[in-house]
Amino acid sequence: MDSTDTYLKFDENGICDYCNNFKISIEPQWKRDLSDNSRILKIRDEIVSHGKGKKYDCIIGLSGGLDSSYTAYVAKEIMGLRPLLLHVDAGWNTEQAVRNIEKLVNGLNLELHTEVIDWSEMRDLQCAYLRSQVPDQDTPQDTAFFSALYKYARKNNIKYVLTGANYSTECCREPEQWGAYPGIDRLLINDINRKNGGKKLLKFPIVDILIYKIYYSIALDGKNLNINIMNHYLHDFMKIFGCQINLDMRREGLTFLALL
Amino acid sequence: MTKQMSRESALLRLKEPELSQEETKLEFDYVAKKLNLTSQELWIIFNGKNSDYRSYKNKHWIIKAGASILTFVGIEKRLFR
Repeated sequence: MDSTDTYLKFDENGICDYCNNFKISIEPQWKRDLSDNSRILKIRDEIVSHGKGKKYDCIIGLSGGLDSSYTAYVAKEIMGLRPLLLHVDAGWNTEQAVRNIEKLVNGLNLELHTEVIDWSEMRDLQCAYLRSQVPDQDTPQDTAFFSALYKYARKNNIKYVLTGANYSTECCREPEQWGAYPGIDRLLINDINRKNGGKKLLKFPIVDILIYKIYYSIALDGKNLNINIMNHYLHDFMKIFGCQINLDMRREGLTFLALL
Repeated sequence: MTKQMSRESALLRLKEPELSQEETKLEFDYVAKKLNLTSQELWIIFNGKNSDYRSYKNKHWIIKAGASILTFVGIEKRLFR
């Protein structure tokens, strides 16, 4: 951590709270997952038995970046699942992301559904966010991605939502001070939009954090599972798809991935 | 922390620009155009005074309370603050 995090706390040995959290909470599970894939196999058994007789047993939000591409690979090839891939097009796709998606869909022989967000609403909301001067400028896009994914999963009665995660690059969350608002807050999004010249959002999907954490997860027993990137599978994935992963090219939180 | 890079080399790497000046300008103009703003309008916003969620209606305390419960029962492992 550099010195721009002014809330950083140190213990009596001069170790910061992020380092301590990593040592106590994250590293043990990470190490366990690296040497032992029983957790992933247990999840697989649960998904397979629940999905019997259904066309898809889970859904994966595919952005074309590293984490979600890897998740799709592990779900199909390592876990033997039958995932539906959902891509949400919020207007900012790079050509590289589109190429990656095409190659993954063909390479893994999976079905892809694309949800397109109404561009005029997306643009208005992004402009309102820019004018609001809040640091969380990725909120409009992230909200669209996750809300559309949860909505589609619910509508089509798919219980398991798989998302990619990467402890290697994101085990240490940036402080809120830098712009990491903790979830989709409908009240906040609508207020920022209204006070900064945005028109009322009619089609833009917003599934509030309380809806997906309480109603979807508890009342409907929906499951959101994180698949963490593990190096031994990552090497196989890279070999099969002949891809280059350049972690140095991370821009605006997107992990750069080029499938050749 | 994850032993992939030392703090010293990370701080050095952060000093380097992500894009060259020309690339930055091209990207900036591209984003402005796509958002139906002129580059000048986007510059004015860019140089404006920063704000945060506290200037708007929000459910921050409810979300934080919920997150503390998840951390307490061990579902969430990362440190959010």
